[in-house]
This record gives sequence, structure tokens and C-alpha cells, in this order.
Amino acid sequence: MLDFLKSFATNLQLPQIIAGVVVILASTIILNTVFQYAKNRNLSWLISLEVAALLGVFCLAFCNLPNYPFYFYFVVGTLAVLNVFMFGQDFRRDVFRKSWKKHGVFEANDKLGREELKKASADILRACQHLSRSNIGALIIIADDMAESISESGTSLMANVSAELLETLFHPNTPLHDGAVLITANVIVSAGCYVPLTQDLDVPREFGSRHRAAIGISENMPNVTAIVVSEETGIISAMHDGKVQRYLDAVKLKQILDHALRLTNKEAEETIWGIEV
Amino acid sequence: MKKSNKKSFKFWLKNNWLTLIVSLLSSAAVVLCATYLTTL
Repeated sequence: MLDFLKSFATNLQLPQIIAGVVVILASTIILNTVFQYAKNRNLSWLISLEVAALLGVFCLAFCNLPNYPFYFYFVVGTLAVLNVFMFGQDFRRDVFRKSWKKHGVFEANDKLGREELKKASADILRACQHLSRSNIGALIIIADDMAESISESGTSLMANVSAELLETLFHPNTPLHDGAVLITANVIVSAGCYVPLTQDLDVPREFGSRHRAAIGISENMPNVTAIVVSEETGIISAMHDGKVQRYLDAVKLKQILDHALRLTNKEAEETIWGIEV
Repeated sequence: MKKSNKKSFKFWLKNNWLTLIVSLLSSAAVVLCATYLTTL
């Protein structure tokens, strides 16, 4: 490796330098994106682990091992697969969010889009309060992207959010009242959706299948916020990233809805949901 | 609009400079190793 470094430094030519810089910049962007996702999820240990592994593989090159290519491909391949598994969902979410911005749905400076989202937030809040007062059970899922696996299990609606429509959808003895309603931005994508239940055995016993479904979906899809109105008690709860907030009043629920619809900035997430330790 | 983008990038850089440098150094190490592999 030392001989290689010496000859590499002496035989450098302009095209090689340009190609090298481009490749390093491209891999820096990829690595930085992964590290940012890890940072956002408080996985600093994962960053340390990956840097240590890459540093280890770099140091191994100086040992002149005969099977060095195997170690290199093993470490780099394992890290690539690990990152795809860990942060694939985050990456998809960001890509979807960017495409939304392109279409003006989430554009913060687009006054019309923002007003529509504010109206949607107010309508969901009003519907939840009415449903809570009438002790009607409800499960509302607010997702960044279209969450196709969930929406396909229900009945497609593609209707603008309104409090009256939400209350109608959850009215007992109607065909769609038992499933979840999926909302994306200010659109009710589908109703009567089936959602996987959480497998966590530590969930309190008073949580019924509606609450378990909400926790399950928030664990599987961290970009999702689920709002549950209890049929027995009328208590409104919210779930996000596996975390649960119960006994929500109008102020707290509005904060959660505004965060779910991306009306507030990213820092609001820590205020509402706390930092995972 | 351009001004606010500039400001937000500066803010981002202020918070993430360490991560960026670590990524840059790690990438340089990987690219160097990969180039070394081609000479083996």
C-alpha cells in the first residue's frame, strides 16, 4: 500500500485528479446522507461503527494481506446492505417529500398549499373532538407518502379532508367504519384500511386493536402519525415513531396534527414527541 | 428566496460540519482503497 501511495502521488494526472474528486464527492454525498439519517434517529453509535469499519479496512491495506480484496468487499458490501435496510424508508420518504414540494403541496412558501393544510388540520381536529364526545372509535393515519400497502387494503376515496366526511366514515354500522382512514396532505386517500398490529407485548392491556394497529403502523413507518379515538372512553391518543401520547386536549392535538402535516418545522418533533434515548 | 436558501445552508453547515468532514474522510479512504485494489 505504501508503494502504491508513492506511485499514486507521483503519477497523478489532471484527468485522474478530476475523476477522483468527482468519485470522492459522490461517495461523500451518499455517506453524509446516511450519517444524517443516523443522526436524526439518535444512532450516533452506528456512525462510529461504520467509520471504524472503514478505517479498519483502510488500515488493513497497509498489512499487505493476500486476501485483502475479500475483506474490502465484505466490509463495504455489509455496510451498504445494512444502510439500505436501516434507512431505505427514510430515503423513500425524503424522495416523496421532494416530489410533493415540486407539485406545490408541501411548499412552505406556497400560501395556497399551506392554507389548505391548515384547513385540513382544523377539520381533523374538529372531527376528532366530535367523535370523542360521541364515543365513536376512530383511527386516522396521516402519512407523508401515499403508503400504498395501506391504501390498497381499503376503499379509495381521494376526497378533500372535511370534518363531516371523517365523522361519516367512522359512523358505527357503516361498511368502512372499522378500518383506518389514510390521509395524505389535505386528501383522504382511502378508508376502511387494514393496518398491521404491533407485536410488542408491553403495550398496556387497556389498548384495544385500534390502538395496537396505530402503534404497529407508527413502528413500521416512522414518517406516519396515527390518531386514535377510543370507542369506550373517548380518549384521543396519537402515535408516531412507536411513541404514544394519550389524553390529548385540543391544543396538544393541534400541535401533533400540524407536525404530521408538516406545517411546523423539524424541531417541533422534539418538542412534541421528545428525543428517543 | 436565494438569500434564505444561502442562510439555511450556512445554518446546516454550522450544525453538520463534523459529520460532513467524517463522511469526506471516510469516502477518501474508501476510494483510495478501491484504487489500490485495482493495482493488486
